[in-house]
Amino acid sequence: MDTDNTAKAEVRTVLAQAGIMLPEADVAFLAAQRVMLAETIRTVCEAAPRA
Amino acid sequence: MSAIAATVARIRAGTLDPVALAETHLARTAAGNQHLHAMIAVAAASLRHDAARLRARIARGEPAGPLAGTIIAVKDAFDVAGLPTTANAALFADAKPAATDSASVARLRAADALILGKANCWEMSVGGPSRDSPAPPAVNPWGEGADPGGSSNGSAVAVAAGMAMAALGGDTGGSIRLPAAFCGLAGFKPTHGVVPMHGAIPFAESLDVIGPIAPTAADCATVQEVLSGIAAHPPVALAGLRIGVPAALLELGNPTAAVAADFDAACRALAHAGATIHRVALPSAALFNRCYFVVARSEAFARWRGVLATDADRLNALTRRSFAIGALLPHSAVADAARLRQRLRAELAEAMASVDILALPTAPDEAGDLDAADAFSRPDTAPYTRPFSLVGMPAISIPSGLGPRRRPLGLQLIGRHHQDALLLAIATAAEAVLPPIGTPTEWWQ
Repeated sequence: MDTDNTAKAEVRTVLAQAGIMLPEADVAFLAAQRVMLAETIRTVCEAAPRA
Repeated sequence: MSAIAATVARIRAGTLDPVALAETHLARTAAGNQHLHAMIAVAAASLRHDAARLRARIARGEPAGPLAGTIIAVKDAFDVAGLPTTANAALFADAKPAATDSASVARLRAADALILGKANCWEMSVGGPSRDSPAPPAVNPWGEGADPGGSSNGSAVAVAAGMAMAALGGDTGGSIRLPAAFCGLAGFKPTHGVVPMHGAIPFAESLDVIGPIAPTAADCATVQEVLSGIAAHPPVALAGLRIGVPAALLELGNPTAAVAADFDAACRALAHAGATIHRVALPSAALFNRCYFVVARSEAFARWRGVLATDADRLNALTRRSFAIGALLPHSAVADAARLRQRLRAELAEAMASVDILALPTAPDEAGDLDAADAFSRPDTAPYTRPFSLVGMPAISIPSGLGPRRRPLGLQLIGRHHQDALLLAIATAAEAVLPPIGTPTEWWQ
């Protein structure tokens, strides 16, 4: 539960920085994607060629 | 000669009345649209007016264009003069009629095509089936309650149900090819940048393209020649054609047994006609769709973040979430994805060095049901179409068979950059050796 609340708070913070407020259900949905997002970002960053 | 070209020839010769043709399609639209929800707006008055003008010009002996009298539906993400562009979103529900045509529609009109109206689509071309958008979801003519896919679903449904002879769709990651496949049609995604996007509502601009959906690849070629301004390729033979199958991508998509069998049968039919089938290596196959996800979501967020800040309540939940997830991608990931994209483009070009085209199924399964569709797009969504959007290559889906539920399956053929006309000629030859799937039972009549 704490993990979920932390993830939702992080989503709210990022959106607020862009001036965006979304319904709580949207925030919860986006927070629930964090594992998928982290895996996607990690994979892309590790595979990107470096100069 | 394509069916559309044959119809155009009859109209130009004065043996087919474009007004009668327009009335036939308007009648089909009136009969089917209440059940299929293919069209958001039907421009009956302007269609009749334009058809009558065309008939008068032909009667006077004036020349008519290469799409003379061709009835075309336009995805409601592209401007058509005199009609609002809504992208099936409440955000644009109050939009005024467009003052001018989008660039692609202008090219069609200049070729004397006749515009039926605006076709339904997933809200903002994002994902569907858009149950909470202004227009109800389009229904696949191949089965009551069947999902036509998306996002250009109204375009495909209008053609499959005989409301239009062809349609314009938009494709960011499969939005032309997938509904075409699910509706038993051909759908062509051009090389990125070949068809102008002016007057189109964007999703992710480095991925977005406009292209035709029509009954056959030959019909697509007839329309695409006008859209691109590039002459159609002469007919080609399959004998000697080298077709590459990126086996790693095929396996990653986890196709159903029916799709795998259909794809094998299609490859055997092409081989029987003289083509040779080769497995091609794609070491980074697993990276394409993850890279696509970062590119598409970051671009969509960059484009629509202002709307999320001011009018989020005028988007449906799926669209809000699909745009907003881009905010959670760090800048470093977006930059890495841009570099990775170039590497993947080079890898795919290398994979094609020893073959003429690539082949894959268009989708890993036949069309599902509208009430069962999982709409939110993830990195494993549309596994066979997104890789070629990411790298901007031309690709086409043509009908290849029917699945267990008697719903169509598609074979996707992929060409090299800017070899669009050649790919269409190859697809035309390929569809001639694939078994015909027939047409849907008109249960809505």
